[in-house]
Amino acid sequence: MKKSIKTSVWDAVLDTGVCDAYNNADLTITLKMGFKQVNPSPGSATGTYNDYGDPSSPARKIVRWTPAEWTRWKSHFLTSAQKYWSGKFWLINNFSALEYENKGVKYRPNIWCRFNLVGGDASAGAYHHTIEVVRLHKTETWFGSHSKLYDSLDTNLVQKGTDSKGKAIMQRAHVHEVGYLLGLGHVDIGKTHCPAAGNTNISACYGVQDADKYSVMGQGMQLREKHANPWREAITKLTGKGNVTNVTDWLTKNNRHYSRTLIEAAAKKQIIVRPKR
Amino acid sequence: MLKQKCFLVICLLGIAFLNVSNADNSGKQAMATQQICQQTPLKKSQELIRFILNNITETYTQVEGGGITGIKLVATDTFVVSVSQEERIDKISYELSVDGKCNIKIIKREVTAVTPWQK
Repeated sequence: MKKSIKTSVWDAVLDTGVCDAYNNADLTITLKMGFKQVNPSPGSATGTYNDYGDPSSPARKIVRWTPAEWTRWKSHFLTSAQKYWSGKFWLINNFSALEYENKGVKYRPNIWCRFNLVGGDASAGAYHHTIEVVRLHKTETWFGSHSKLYDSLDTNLVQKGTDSKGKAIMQRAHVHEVGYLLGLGHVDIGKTHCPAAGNTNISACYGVQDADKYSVMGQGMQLREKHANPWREAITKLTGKGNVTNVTDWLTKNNRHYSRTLIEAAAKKQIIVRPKR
Repeated sequence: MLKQKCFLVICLLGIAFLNVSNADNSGKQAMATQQICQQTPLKKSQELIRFILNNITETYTQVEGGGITGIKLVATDTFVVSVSQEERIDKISYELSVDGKCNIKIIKREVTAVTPWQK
């Protein structure tokens, strides 16, 4: 059985039809991104475009997109970002919800969080987010991008910062940006050096302590349990059970937790090794 | 033998003269530097900007991005350095004090950010 919801920023589908003695329910968030080329003036193969699309910021050399390069870039963006975010979290079902019977045994499934990133040309179709993309000239190594304006290098792994031991912290910008589109904020929002009511783009919001700097919503590539919050929000809406602000509701795990029998669930037992059933 | 001794004395005197002469020069240069730092705005701003650049090397760890895209004097002895990063431009404000010997101290350092596309 499938149940779905739509929001302005993503859609979600809960599939309990896949549940059996081993498999949890699937919760898939779908994010639809419409991409729009930023090209030099008509008739020109090359030109310039300013950082952030802001005329007062430095201009960078850009190149006209070719159909082949546009297709390749979109495909790489979508494939790699989806792979990064999909199937990384399991939510522990702490409610009497979604229970099912398999071969005479009653089970309570947990939730496997999946991600479906759909992209196309912004001019065709309906999307949650529309993103402009510049193709940088080969001599350019950087462009000032933001959540609605990307560049052709945003899928590359680059050094974003340095930890307290002087070690480089690497990140692919596009997975950070997709996290942002999912509704996640920067890692240190809410801390005294990055108040939620202030500018949450200041450098301190990207992490001060090493552990925070390495977060994907900081300067690095590491996932944290709180990054499952879009799925927790979706399952809360889909089931009407729980609250995202209560961390024990739909508790996040980063490894597979199998469906439990009702007895196992009542005993608060967690099954992380494939059981014999 | 006497000739050799005379030659040695002359050499020593010559070296001593050169040293005094060099000492005089360096003293003049030091005095000149002090006067320049005190008196010329160009020299003073150069020293302040060098100080800021050194401080950024020590304190700003987000090495990627577009680098420094601006250094602007916004008030007497207050500069704002712009560092372009993805999603933002970091603005590092330095309010400095400087004496006639070019001794520079930070009165206030503040890091903020702007997001020009959200104007």
